[in-house]
Order: sequence, then C-alpha cells, then structure tokens
Amino acid sequence: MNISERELLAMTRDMDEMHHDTLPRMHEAASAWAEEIGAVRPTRRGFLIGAGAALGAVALAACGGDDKKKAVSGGTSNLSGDLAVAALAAGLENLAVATYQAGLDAATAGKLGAVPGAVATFAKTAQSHHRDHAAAWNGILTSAGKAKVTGVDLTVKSAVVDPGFANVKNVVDLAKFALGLEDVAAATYLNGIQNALTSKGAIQTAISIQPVEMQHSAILNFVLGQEPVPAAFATTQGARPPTDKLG
Amino acid sequence: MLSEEKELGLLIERSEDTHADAMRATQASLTEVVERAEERRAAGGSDPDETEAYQANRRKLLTRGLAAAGAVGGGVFGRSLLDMLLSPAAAAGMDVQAAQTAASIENLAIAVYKQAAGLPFMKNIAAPAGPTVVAFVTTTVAQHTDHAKAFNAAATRLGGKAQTGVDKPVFDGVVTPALPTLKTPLDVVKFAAQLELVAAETYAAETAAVTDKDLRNTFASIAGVENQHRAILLAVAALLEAGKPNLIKLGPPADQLPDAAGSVGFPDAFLGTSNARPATEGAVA
Repeated sequence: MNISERELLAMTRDMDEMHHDTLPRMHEAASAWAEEIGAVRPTRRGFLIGAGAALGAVALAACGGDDKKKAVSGGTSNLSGDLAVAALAAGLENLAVATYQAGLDAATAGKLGAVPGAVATFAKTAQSHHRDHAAAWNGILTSAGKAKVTGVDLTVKSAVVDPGFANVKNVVDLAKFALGLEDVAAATYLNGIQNALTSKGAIQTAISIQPVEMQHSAILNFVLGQEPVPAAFATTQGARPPTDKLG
Repeated sequence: MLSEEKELGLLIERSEDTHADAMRATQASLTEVVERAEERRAAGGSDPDETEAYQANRRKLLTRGLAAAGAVGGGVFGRSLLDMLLSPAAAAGMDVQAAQTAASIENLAIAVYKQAAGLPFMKNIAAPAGPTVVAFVTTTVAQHTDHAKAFNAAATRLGGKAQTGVDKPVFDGVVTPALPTLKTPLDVVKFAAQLELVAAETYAAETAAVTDKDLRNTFASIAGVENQHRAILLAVAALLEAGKPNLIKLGPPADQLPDAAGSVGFPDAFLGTSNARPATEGAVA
C-alpha cells in the first residue's frame, strides 16, 4: 500500500518527536559526566537551552561580518582534557548550525537556483540535530562551571567555510559543502573517543553523536550519487584538534 | 517453513557445529583471563556476580542510574561489586565477551542479508531500485564481514575465541519470528534497518563500557557505519512506502523526491542504547 506525501511528512514529524525524546537521555549523560568531573549536576532546563542563547550570535557569525564582536567566546585557553574537546565540539556544532542557516538563507534569497523541498528538509533537520548536539556539549561545559561556547570554530570557518561557501552556487554545491563539514565533525568525534577523551560520560556523549553525523553524510553521498557508505570503518581523517580557535 | 528459512537454519546449524568443535579444543595457551572465562563457560555460563557487576556498569552508562550506583557503593556488597567492577581480570573477561558478541552480531547480519537477497521477491525488484539494492547489499555484506574480522581479531588478541556463529538469542528471539512476516522488499528493508540499529546501539554502548582501548576504538569506528547502513535503508523504505521505487538509485533527481525524504534517514539527533544487546549473549565459543 502506498502512502501519500502528507502521510510521509506526518511520519517524519513523528520521527522528529522521537529525536527530541532522546534529549532527556543526553541530559542524563551530561549529568553523569558532570558527576565524574566533580561538577554541579546540571538542571534539565540548563541542559536543554544549552547553546540556545548562542544561536543568534552563531547565525551572525556564519554570514561573515564582524563576528569577533558579535559572538561571545567561551574560550578554550582555560580548558584542558575532556572539557577542551567539549568546547571544540560545541564550536564545530555551532559552525554547522550557522552554515546550514546560511545555506537556507541563500536558498530563500534565490541564490542557489531551484531548491527541492527534500534538500530544504535535509538542511533544516540536520541543522536541528547540530543545534541539539551543541546544546549537549554546552550543557556539559556549564555543568563543569565553564562558559558555554557561543561562537564557532574560527579556524575552520576562516580556512574552510568562508572561502568555500563563497563558491556555493547551487544545491549540489551546498550538498558537497555540507558533506565536508559532516565528515569533519564525525572524524573529530572519533578522534576524541580514540585519542583524547578519558571519562566514560564524555565518550558516551561523543559516540551518541558521531554516528548521527555519519548518517547525515550517508544521505548526502546518496543524493550526490556517491557511494553512501564508502568505508567499512570510520576514520579520523580531517579531525580538528582542540587547539582550534573559537570565537 | 520456506526453503530459504531451511537454508538459513542449516547455515546456523553448521556454524554451531563449528563452535562446538572449537569448544572442545585445548585452551592450554590462553591467559588467566581467558581461563577464567573458559571456566565460566564450562560451568554453564558467565559468573553471575561478575556479569552483574559488568551489567551494573553498563546500566549506569546506559541509563545514568547514578543514584542507585551510589547507594550500592555504600554497603559491603556494594564494595564487593565495585572491586569486581574494577578488577582488571573481570574487565578483560567482559571485554572478551563483548568482542565475541559483536562478532556474532556481525555474523548474523551477514547471514540475514545473504538470505534476504535470495528471496524471490528481492530478486525481482525492477530497475533502478533492484540493482541499487543489490549493490547496497553486496557492499554492506562486505563491510559486515570486515567488521566480523575486526571483532574476532580483537577477541583473539584479548584471549577469546573467534566467533563463526550467529548471535543466537537475536536469531531465536528476533530473526526467527520475523522471517515468516517478510513478504515484500519493504518488509525486508525495514527488518534490515532494525538489525542495523541493534548493531549500532550495541557498539555505542560498548564503546563507553569496555576497558581495552583498542577494542573501544574498534567499536567506535564501526558504530557509525552501521548507523549509515540504517540511514540508507530507512530512506529506501520511505521511497518504497511512498510508491516511488523509481527514485531508489544513487543520485536520485532531488526535485522529484518527497520533501520528507530529506530527513527520514536520520530520525534521531542522538544514537540511543535502548536496543543494545547484552555483552554476553552472543559469545558461544
């Protein structure tokens, strides 16, 4: 029996609700990590809003301009170990949120030509995921008494996003560009698990996110006509280090 | 029983025979950890207390039951559990079982994919969906084979035994009941997606639970790949359900895709662990 597009959309909404159901579990993971590092247990509200206050600044940062003034930096100079990785992750997630927003804005402005609904849906859903991921990492940072990361990974932004996004002229370019960011995020999480993170809570948080970034990559590869699952093992190629500048 | 089911049953039977032979082999060269594991198996399974300690740790990781863990840690029994939990031998023994279980899950996935690909209605899917699905299955089976090798290598490195059989509890509890219900390509694709979810969540749980760093790295490098398999299967299922099999091909015309196709492949922002299988269930040798 075939289903209509409306029914399919309803199913998607259900799935979206399901993914929001996972947030409480992430709150628990953050609480566990906080306990491991001797921090104050975060409130559910504090976890859920996470990077929410940062998103406005992030959106500005994505579109260039004077982001150093408008984005408030959590900074990493005073962080080390797992918390430095958490800050890096939050910065990368914020950058992904901002970049998808820039893509959506460009699409709305007609700068990318005809934009299929499926592509817009992908961008909005992936952006929502990255927003949740950033909130998770920032919830952990604030649990540890550290400032949340309100800005983006400036190293990646200046070296990759700004010059790369300038060359995005259509949805295919946008998909390829997004694929690069998703692969970097997944590689960074895997590198964190394999080479940097020490607390089990931190490892659990990272492994709950890395496979989702890889799902984003698989769908992008599929749409681009490329092998959707190109390797039997995820790699750390392209992983970003905690020394990346945030702001 | 369908002939395909019989073939799958024979496959499983042969695998179990292989394991039975392996279990009779001399274990003289195994390490103390492995000897303990063998003793447990010879006694009919894992030591309940040790397993409970490990599972308690997993539950803590999986459900964040920190308050309960703290209460247990305060008593004499709790101290005993904690000591067991922290015991390198106990941890290594459980790592072995986790690796063996993972290998048996991979073996199960390989068997199910191969069997499913041979079902008549799977062989007759019209192009472009048919060749796309065949290519996906071929690649996915190869990747699961690589995963099985990696987990078996980890198991043997840690002193365990390579697994050639399937995860029998999953086979008996999930696969066997499902087989008669698989009547269409959509049924098969949805079922495969569920198996991939089980694998991904099991490996995610073990990534945070095992103590051996190399084994953790192996779990971490595979969990995401299983989740990618699931993403593609979910997308294919959605297109089948939408009556658009003509769009099941690499590089589909994006302007013809249903809007919702842009998100059905990744329904959750976080990979959970509620479908994770126990570390001990698949270790049969």
